[in-house]
Amino acid sequence: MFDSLIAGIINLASFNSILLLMAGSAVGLLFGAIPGLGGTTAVALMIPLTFGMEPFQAIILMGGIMAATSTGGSVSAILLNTPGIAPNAATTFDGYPLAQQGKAGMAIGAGATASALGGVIGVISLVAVIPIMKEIVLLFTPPEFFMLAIFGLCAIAVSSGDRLLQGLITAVIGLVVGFVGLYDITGTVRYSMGIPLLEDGIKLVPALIGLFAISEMINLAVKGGSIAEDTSTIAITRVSDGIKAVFKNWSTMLVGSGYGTFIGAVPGVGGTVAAFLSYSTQVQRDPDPDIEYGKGNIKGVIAPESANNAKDGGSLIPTLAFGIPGSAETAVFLGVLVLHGIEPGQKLLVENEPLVFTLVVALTVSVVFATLVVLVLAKYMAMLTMVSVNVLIPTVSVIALVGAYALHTEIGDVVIALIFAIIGYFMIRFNYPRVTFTIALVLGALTELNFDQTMQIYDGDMSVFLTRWLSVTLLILTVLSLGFPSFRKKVRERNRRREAEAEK
Amino acid sequence: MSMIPEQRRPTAWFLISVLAVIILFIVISYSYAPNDRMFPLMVGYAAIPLILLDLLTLTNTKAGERISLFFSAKTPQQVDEGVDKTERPVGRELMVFIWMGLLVLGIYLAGFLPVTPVFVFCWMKLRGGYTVRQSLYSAFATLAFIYVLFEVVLQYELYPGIFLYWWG
Repeated sequence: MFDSLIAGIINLASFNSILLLMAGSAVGLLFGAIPGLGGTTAVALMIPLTFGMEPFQAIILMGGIMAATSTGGSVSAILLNTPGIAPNAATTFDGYPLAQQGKAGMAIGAGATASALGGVIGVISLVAVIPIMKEIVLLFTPPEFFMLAIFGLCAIAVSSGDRLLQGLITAVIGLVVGFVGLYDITGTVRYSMGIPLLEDGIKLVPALIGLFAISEMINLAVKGGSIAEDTSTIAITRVSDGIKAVFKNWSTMLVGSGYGTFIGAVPGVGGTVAAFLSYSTQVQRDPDPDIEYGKGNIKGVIAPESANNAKDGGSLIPTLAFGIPGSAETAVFLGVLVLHGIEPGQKLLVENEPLVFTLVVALTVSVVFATLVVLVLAKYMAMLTMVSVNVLIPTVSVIALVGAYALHTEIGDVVIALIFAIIGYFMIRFNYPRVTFTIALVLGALTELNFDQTMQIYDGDMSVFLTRWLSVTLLILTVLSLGFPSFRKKVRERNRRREAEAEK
Repeated sequence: MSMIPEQRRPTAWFLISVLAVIILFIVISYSYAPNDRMFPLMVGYAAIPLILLDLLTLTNTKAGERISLFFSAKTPQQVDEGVDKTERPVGRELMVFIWMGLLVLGIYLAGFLPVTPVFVFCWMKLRGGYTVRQSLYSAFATLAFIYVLFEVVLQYELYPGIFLYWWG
């Protein structure tokens, strides 16, 4: 292993490799920061550039992109309340209120530092758990995948604070929207209303762009004003305050990184769920915060940012070990490996170990490099919050629509983005969480697929969910998470009563 | 509706619309084979009680209060206090939807590149009250950014608009 690590460092220690890594990181930052583009698009677009490269060079370029995307996405999530990529959506909850309070620099500092540390922890975990991860991932069969998806949805609904019921409703609507299009198991096209564009289902990228980027622009246009509530009061606090906050709240960062690594390793679930679970866990771990979550608590930035970068290492575990991509991004990356004649699995881990470590070193260096870039430019980026809405709205709307169109070059995607923008606006207006809707949309197909596979394997016997220990554990966690708000209320009331009695 | 206080009625209408969509979804589901509709129907039927419970929380009834306390640990009145009270006149909302609709229609008809500067210029001049020069600078800066990034660097062929197809 040590020899492979040295080989990985040597692969990276040339001028060309460093240039590729920096180019990859820059592309990752840019694609991460522009709402709707994201790492998957960046990796996919860069594939043709790798044709003439050595395999390790292609891996360095792709590693640079994958590691930097989440860091770039956190910038637009904090400054514009529009997550650059879906995993940054949880960062908006507290990052944006911090920006509104004139603490954008602090939020970016904390987000970037948490991203770097989370990314490094994820990569270290990748190295450490490869030998044992095979056993863990194999424990997940369709019933467990199904229960994990349901648990994820409920836990995220709970993280909506006092909007649990509304979170569950939007989760159900998200699942309903996710049913539109071709159903892989039977080959039936459902709920497309005869519209050819919908036959392949609602595409995630335009839907997310509409739901987060454009709906926010509509909301700003209706409300008026500027992104910062009062630009005259904005003072860009020192970025170093954010860096210090991460080290002060190290346990938040560690728990987030743990979530990112673990959830990232579960195929198909990915960084969005990891970031939201990390956020909701943080909210639950901290019942009496100094600053309420959702109103600018720095821990609400650290938790999701450490998780969504740690997932990069985690999601590579099933990709490299079993050829099962942990996310859309790693699925495209898998294509790059195959293109260069690298077969994932035992063969890669045993015969091509130096390549695995080249990727490990590239991810580590890239995430640190991207963080340094963001930290250096944070003060200038923070100034974006002072831009008038009447400059931002038209420019962001147009760029977001181009992003919606770009991935599939399908003009219908622009219409889908607009429809989801209107849906998203009404969710903002009536205070219904968009987050659970999004997660349900992402997980919808996976949930149904695993439900159907379970029914096929166990002849329609639903009791299987209650007879497998991991499935039952996840079910218990789901029920506990739903009862959490009323449990928390009872604990608070009891504490208040005790305090009142003690005062008497 | 009379059981629901005036300020919560727009939310109630929103929920009723969602309920209608869910009922339509369930009806359509029955047109598919049992294997195709099993999971969608489970989800659809799960949505109905959730929406009805939420509707109940909007009423000033004891049951509504209990449901609200269970799910959010707050009474409906406490929930109301946390709601964003910014005024959102329907006329202003409609106007913004029309602007966005016109942008998408413009893109469909004339393509991204001609519509981008026109939209940015018109928005800044007509809605933002910027000077012609400021609006022009922003319009062409946005156009240059989109053109360089998407057309030159990424080599996307941005949608040219249906007019161009018509005129060959």
